[in-house]
Amino acid sequence: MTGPSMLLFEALREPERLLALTAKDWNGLIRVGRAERLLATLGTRAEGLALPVRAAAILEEARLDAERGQDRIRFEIDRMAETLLPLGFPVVLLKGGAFLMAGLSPLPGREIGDLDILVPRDRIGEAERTLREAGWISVKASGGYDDSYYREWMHELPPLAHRSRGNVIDLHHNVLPPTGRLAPDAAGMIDRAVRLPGGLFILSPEDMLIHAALHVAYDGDFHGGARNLWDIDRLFRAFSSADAAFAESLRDTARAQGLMLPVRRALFLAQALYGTPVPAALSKRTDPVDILAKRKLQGRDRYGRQRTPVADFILYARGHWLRMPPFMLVRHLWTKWRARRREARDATRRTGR
Amino acid sequence: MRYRLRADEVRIEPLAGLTLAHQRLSGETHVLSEETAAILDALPERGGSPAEIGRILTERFEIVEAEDVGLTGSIESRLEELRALGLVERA
Amino acid sequence: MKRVRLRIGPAIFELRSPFRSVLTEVEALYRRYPQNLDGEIFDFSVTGLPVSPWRRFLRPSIMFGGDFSLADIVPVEKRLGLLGFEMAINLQMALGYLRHIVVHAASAAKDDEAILITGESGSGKSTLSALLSYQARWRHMGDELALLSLETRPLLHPYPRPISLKNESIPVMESRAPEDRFGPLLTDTVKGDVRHLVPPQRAIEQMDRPALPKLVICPHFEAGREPAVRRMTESECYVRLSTASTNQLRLGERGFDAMVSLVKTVPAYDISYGSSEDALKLVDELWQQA
Repeated sequence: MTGPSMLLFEALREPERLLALTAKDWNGLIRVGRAERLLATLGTRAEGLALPVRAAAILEEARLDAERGQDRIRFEIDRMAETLLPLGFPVVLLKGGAFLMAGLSPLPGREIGDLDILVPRDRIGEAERTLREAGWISVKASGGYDDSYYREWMHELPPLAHRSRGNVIDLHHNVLPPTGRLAPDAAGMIDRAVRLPGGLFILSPEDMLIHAALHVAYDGDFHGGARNLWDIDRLFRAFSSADAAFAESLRDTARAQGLMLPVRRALFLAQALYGTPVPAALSKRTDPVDILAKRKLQGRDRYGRQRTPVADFILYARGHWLRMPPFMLVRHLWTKWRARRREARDATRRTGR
Repeated sequence: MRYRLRADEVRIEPLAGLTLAHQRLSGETHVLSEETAAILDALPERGGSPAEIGRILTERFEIVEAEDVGLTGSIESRLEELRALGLVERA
Repeated sequence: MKRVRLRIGPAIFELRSPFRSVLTEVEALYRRYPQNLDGEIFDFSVTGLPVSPWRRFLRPSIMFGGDFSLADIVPVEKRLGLLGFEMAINLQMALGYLRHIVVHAASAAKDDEAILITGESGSGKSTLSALLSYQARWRHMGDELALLSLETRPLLHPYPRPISLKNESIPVMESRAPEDRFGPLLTDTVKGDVRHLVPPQRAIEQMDRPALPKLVICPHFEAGREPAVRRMTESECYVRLSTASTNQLRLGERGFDAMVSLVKTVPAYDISYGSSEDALKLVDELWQQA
């Protein structure tokens, strides 16, 4: 029997498979699609297919809601650009914001939560001040543990939410925390960034894929990985067909920054889930992390709950290990211990585990 | 500075009582005061400066000596508020 | 784990819980609603689980989960599990249902025209809705959530879940509706006493039949008060309904259009009264005029 996670991945890849689903399959697929925030994407993939009426209504509802969400982010980008562009430094849209403004292939149905932007490290204070003056406010109490933690150790500032619209901007000066073992070349990424009409930038195709791969491989515990991998699959296919030498230049760009492993791992997983056509030069030999990650990604039950506690735990610990030197890790886990238990309780309540 | 309505994104709906302005992208609906609604209504399609809008309003509502009562300045600050909400833009 | 499926208007829910007796109460309350939903694609799953393994047996307490976050529901004692499921179902609709504008309002129809009753909790909305529900002339459509279609002439769609009676309205309705349509009396809830009343069978049989809104009213009950009527402006009505909606903002321009069209075409009144008789009389008069 195909589990509901696999059903989702297969249906994204080949929407015609939806035509063969039973009501029971649909019920599992809908729960997993909601949990992975991929239901709206599936809705756009399934357009035009003759689906059961109730399934079609649920997909359509998700798709329209994602489109409204994209509009809200488009508006936020417009306001943010007006605020930051006059300062004269490059402002680079990351992830969903970039897909949106450049119309890239992961966009249809893509839920975009927060607006992530990258600015030069020495201008980030100025960017934050200017956004605050223009109506965005910090959602973490200033000087609190979370606020100080972000400022001291992270590659981004505490999230800024617009005071009336509530949309959140995450202001980054790099794509990974500076404390981890990997050091992406943020300045180089900004130099290579592509200017859009209107003055904002997006990462070059190579860097955009590297950034998505870093999220898959280093976002702690592969949570949200199915969606990140869908982005990677779409981007890799589109960039490769636009430029026959893309795989090669991706490899060179990743290698120059010492980021081959995460790129290979992400492509391996994208291939496992969505059949991404990865050339030999970028493939890798399977290691235990791949196997755990794959098991976790495929391991939701028909109520959308994660059913792989062991893989979960190991990947959680690994995510922290990768992001922090050991002395910090101890300090961080100590401080976070109580908060995490609280969060886990809430999350359990949400997913009904 | 000249301003114009973000016509593709904004829906103005005069109701009995007040006027609503819906920004399609932000999803927000703003309730406009009478004066603000009058300013938007006076805004020429190709755009206009606060002084021009002041002249239109002066004629329409038979106000005298617009400059003396600070009309232009108050129109400009209203337009800047509307701009922050994404309802108008600088032309 | 026991599973129960329910259909209320356009939405199907699957409820799951190891607390069998709670779901048996749910089944009993919904026994007159559509049955045999096993082969259906459902909209929302809702779970009611023990707060911790111990609490399945010891001072049993239930926490709720669902497709859309239910972190705001505090765990409830097992004896109030029925109420907890009702709240969880309502929240799934409020957070996750986007096929109609969901308005926190009651509604009822005569033939294919409808009255929409909006107001804060405690305003008398629920009592008025319950009173109308067992009047032969009215077809009950919902006591808590009204579903407004996303069209230029929006239609109201029924969402006739069991009516949730609170405190004084319980005896008022016990004298007006047959005993076998009531659920168990739940005492000492956060809202005081609560008892569910299953609407008349006609309301359930016709729960797929929409109606065109003809009148909006905003009731204010105050004991002993003389009846009074005030016409609301279009914009006042817009603001009232829009703030009473759980999802209109998320629906964007479609939600805006439908709501504007409603307030431009349907008269709205703010009414005050001090007795059930006065309330019903005012509603009848306004309905005649509308």
